[in-house]
This record gives sequence, structure tokens and C-alpha cells, in this order.
Amino acid sequence: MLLHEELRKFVIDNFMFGKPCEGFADDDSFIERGIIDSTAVMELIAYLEARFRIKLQDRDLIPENFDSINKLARFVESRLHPNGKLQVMLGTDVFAEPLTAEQKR
Amino acid sequence: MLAHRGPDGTGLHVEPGVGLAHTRLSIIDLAGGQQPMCNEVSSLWITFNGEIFNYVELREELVRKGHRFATRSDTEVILHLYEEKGEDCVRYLNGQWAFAIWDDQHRRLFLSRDRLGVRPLFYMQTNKSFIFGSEIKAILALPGVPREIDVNGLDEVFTYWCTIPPTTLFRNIHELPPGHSMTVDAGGVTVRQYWDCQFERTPAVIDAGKEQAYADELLDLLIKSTQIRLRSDVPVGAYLSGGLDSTVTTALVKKFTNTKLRTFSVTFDDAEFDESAFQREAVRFLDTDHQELRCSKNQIGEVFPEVIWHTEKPVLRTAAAPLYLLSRLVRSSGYKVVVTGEGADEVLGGYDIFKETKIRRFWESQPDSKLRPLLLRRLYPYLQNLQNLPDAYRKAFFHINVDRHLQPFFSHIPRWELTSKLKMLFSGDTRAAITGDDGYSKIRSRLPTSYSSWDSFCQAQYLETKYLLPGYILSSQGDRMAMAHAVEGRFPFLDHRVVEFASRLPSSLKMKVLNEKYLLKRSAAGLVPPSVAKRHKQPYRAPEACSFLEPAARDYMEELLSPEQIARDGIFDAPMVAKLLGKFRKGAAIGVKDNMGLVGIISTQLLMHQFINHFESRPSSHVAA
Repeated sequence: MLLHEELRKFVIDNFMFGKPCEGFADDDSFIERGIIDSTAVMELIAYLEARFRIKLQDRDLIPENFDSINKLARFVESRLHPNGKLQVMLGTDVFAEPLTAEQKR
Repeated sequence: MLAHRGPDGTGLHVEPGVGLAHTRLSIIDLAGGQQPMCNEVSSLWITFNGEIFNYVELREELVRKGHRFATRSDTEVILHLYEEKGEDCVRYLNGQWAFAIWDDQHRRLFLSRDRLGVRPLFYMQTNKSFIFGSEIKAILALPGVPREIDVNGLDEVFTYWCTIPPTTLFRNIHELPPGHSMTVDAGGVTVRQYWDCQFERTPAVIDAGKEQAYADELLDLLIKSTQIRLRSDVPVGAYLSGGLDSTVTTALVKKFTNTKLRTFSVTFDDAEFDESAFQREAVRFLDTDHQELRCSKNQIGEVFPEVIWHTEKPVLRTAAAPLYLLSRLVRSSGYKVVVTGEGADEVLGGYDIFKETKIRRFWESQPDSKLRPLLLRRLYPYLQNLQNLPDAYRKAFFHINVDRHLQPFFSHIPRWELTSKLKMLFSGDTRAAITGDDGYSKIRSRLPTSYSSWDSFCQAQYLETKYLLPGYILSSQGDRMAMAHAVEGRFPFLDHRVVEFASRLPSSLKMKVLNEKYLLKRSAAGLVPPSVAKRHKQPYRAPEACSFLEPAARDYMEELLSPEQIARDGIFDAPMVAKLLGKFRKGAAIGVKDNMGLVGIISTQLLMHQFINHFESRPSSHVAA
């Protein structure tokens, strides 16, 4: 599943009881649309840390990183691939375990 | 149908065109207080639930005016007062009541409900008849009365946590609002408000020297209010939660009770909710004969269907269930009257929502301040998640920039908006059937004319006292849970003299900076253990939705929350309910919204099951035609 799709599914499943609000778009602000509350932010953080094996610092917890599907995706991508060389292909599971040196050979 | 409210006797008065019925909980004049009761010439008949605490003084005055009494009961006092004052009689009453008087001479029925809404009163009007009762189930049990859910009532519960009278959860059945009376005669039905909670513009700062005078006056009023609430021909016990309010009322009762006072409390296995350490300290300090009820999650799950049978509306919290168990303990211990501390938080400024309102206003005046929002971290120490939130989120969650048209509801917008999110769970049909209350128009249209001149603190107090107090605290957690086992609650803080005094107080005396119930603490110094007086306000809470994962709830959960049943009942969206339930079962539902959502769904489904789908199968629901 692509990153956008997976994040969208998590947000809809967990903060909209599985059914998207009318016209919910990837650029829509979670805050302005009232999609997340205080505990939802914590749920989102716990999910990102567990799913993508990244560690979030307090300075990361700002709406610029968290306030829409697109912002979330950009943030996760930047943390997964800090050198900017993002390797995402359609149908590829970008969250699969990285290949070991032996596998690469 | 209402035998649980009055197991000590039943009475009936029938004459052409009129019938009055009564189930009695005998507390005053055990031998002479049977109802329905009439005056000397049988021209007035009354059926009455509640207590008139100043009946002794009223009786003396009426006797001086020539009225002759056949009993010692407070019921008869209402009848004679009605003869003397007509419909204005209610203005002279100090108490908690719902009554109906049939005035045969004028062929008129006069009904009234107490100022704050302690006792319930519901009615239904058709072209040919007018039916009323203390609980909705008594009306539904009559032949030919349709049983249909009013989705607007549901919409209100999933916004305000309660219905807003006259709306109830049942179509065509209405609730008489607190502080209102009504007359029914050939000309139709007329509803009139005789009392409302009114605040005054008060100075922000007062002379420190006057504080003690205010504190003394409050204590004097509380003593008087408690004294008349001990009038009873049966023993009076007390609830003792470990908080300030019930410790104060218990201390005051103790002061006027010669025998050792019996007190009761709920304790929890889960330390997050348990207040037993403070309860025991109060027991030691006040030397009461105390009994604890240890409440488990499994018990909450077990009794929840019965709880909803009595609330007659959905609830979003489980907190009523332990109180249902507590009243059972009280009754089985031989008590049918308890004094409790309800009302102090509303009247004297104890709730976190008032504190939150102050902080939000303080923050709003300088929205870019980095320091002001930090006060919120002090406010919710038991909500750990909140403490870690960045300021940008807190600003959004606490609605710092409230639209101008929503300003009258500044204090309650965060709560109402969060709760309203749960309406996502409604099915498309339910959403379409709601005729709507956009922008809180129903409440807006009833605000007193002086409301806009009050400060935010008083506005918050008004909304809390006017709606949540009668609609949830005094009913779903109060009257209904106590009366489920024929126990009567009495509330010294809700004596109208105390309420009116408090509404004239400067807000800064109710909450000094962020010190809640400041004046009460000052009044009660020495009456309660210092640790109880100093402790941070801990809202009464019980284990929430996790209670429904316990074995006792398993059977009804599977039946009532199955996708098939949810779809058949049609209130909620079945896939969404399944999704939320799945999240719970995985232990992934941690938020307030998820918890309220699940409790709301379960209680609504229980309501559907017991009142719509299977009402006739309850043995008590049959009424002879």
C-alpha cells in the first residue's frame, strides 16, 4: 500500500470510525475540519512511531508536520529518507524491512 | 411500573374525566400521608413526589389563616397553600417536587416541578387526553401510546450529554422544564416559568475585609438548608465521596444528628478513580458509621442494562452505574433518605469547565502568549496526553478563536463540539431525520435577557446549572439511580436560598484565580479535614467503556451490537460501529471520544432493546386497560 493510502486509511479508520467525512481530501486540515482531538494526536504519534520505526521529538509535533494527509506523508518520507533519495514505486511496499547487505548482493 | 419509586403503598383517585395514581415512598407522616390526597371538601386532589422542607413553617402560617389540617404531611401543606395562593403557591415552597393538583371546581389540572429539577415530570398530550408521570415508562405502558425514538432527543444527548426539555428520547413525550408550572384545562395547555437562575454583574475585585462576611453568610445558609433537609420520620444517611462537597454536607448533618450518622461511598479497584483514602480520612474526622461499596468493571457491565432502564435516555459515561449499586446498598441497609453534596460545583464554582473558561479567556486576550496556555497543563493533571501537546494543538482543541455568534457559549463550545463529533456514528437515515439545532439555537432562544451582561464565569455557571445539572447530574446520575431502589436524595447546596445567594457573589469569590470553590473552603474551614479542603478537585469518574469487555456484559454486547441488530435498529452506521468495537477489542481505543462513542452506542442500543423492541416483555410494563 502506498504511503498516502496507508496514512489516509489510518486517519479514516481511527478518527472517522472508518467512513471519510464528506469530501475529505488529502490537503484538508485536520484541525480546521475537527478531525482530531487531543488524544487523537497521541494515537497518531504512537502509530507513526510503531509503524515506521521512527522516533518523534517534541519539536516534530507541530501542525506543519501533522495537519493533513499530505503534510503527514511529507513528514514521514523526510524521516524515512533524510537524504532526499526517496525510492517509491507504484505497488512497492516502501515500509518493508530494508534489504540486508547479503540480499542486495 | 413505578413501584421502584414508591414501594410503601399505592393509591388511586378516579372521577369522570380524571384519574390520579400514586406510588408512595413514605418519609414524612408515615401513617397519614397516603395519596392521592384531597382537601376538606374534596374539591382539590393532589399526587406528589418529593419533599417540601419548609412545610412546618408554611403549615403554621396557614393554620394562623384558618386552614384546618387532617394530617402532619407536607403533601397537605401544598393543597392548602394552593387554596391560599393559587398557582403562585410554588414560589413559597422550599423543596424538591413534581406534583399535580386536580382543581375540580375549575376543571383544571395544575402541575409543577421544583426550581432546579431534582424531581422529574413527563407528560403527553393528545387531542383527547393528557397523561403525565414521574417517569416516561409509566406513560409508555398505557394502551395505545406509541413508542418511537425522537432522533432530535438523540441529537441533543450527543451534543449536550442530556436532552433539553421539553424534548425527550421519545416522540410525543415531553419533559416539564425545572422551574416551570403548567395548567391543563378546556382551553388547552399553558406552560409558565416561575423561577430561573439569575446572576448579577459584580465587581471583579472585592474588599478583602468583606470575604469573611460572605463566608459567614454562606455557612449560615448551608446550616439552615441542611437543618430543614433533616426533617424526616425515617433515619437520614449521607453519601461521602471523599470530595469537599459531600464532606461539608456530612459534617453539617453530623452537627445536627444526635445518633451516630451512617455514611456510604463507592470505591474502585482502579486507583485512577478511587477516592477511598480521602473517604476514610473524612470518616475518621467526622466519626461516622461508614459503609463502602467496592465497584468493579464487571459490575458496571452487569448492571448497565438496568441503569439505562432507569435513565430512559442514552448516557456517554458509565458514572451512573456505581451510583445505582450504591443506592441498592443504602436501601438494603435500611435507609431511604440520603443527604448528598450535588450542586456545589455548579453553584459555587467547582468544575474544571469554569477553570478552563477563565484560562481560555486569559489566553484569548493575548493569543500569542507562550506562557498563558501553560496554565492548561495545571488544569488537567489526570489527562496525561494533554500535557504533552504542543501549543498549536491546544489552541485548536480549546477553541481560542470562537466565532462571534458562538461567544454566548464560549465556555461550553469545546465540550459540545467534541461531543458532536460522535454524530458521525449516526446512520444516514438518523442524520436525515434530525430536524436540527444549528448553532445551538434552542438554547440561544432561551437565554435570559441579562445573560450578555454577565461575565464568562457566570455564563458558564448558568449553562451548567440550567442544562447539565437537571438533565444529567440530578437525573441520570441522581434521581433515577437513587429511586431505582426507592432512595431519596436531598441536596443542601440546591436550596434556592443558597443558589440565589451564590448567584449574587462576585465570581472572584467562587474561584479565586484558579482556586475552585474558594468561598466554600473558607466557610467550611474547621468542618472538614484539612487534606480534603486542600485537595485538587477530582471529578467523579468511573471505569468507562472497558467495563463492557468484562464477562458480565458479553452476552448483551454480542446481541445488541451485532451488525445485524445495529442495521435493524437503524440508529447507527453498522460498519462504523464494527470499526469502533474492533478498536476497543484490540485495546487501541484510548481517547475520550472513542469512550463516549462506545458508551453512547451501547446505552442507545439498550434503550432501543428495552423500550422499543421488547417493552412488553418486562413484567412491570403491563397496565390494565
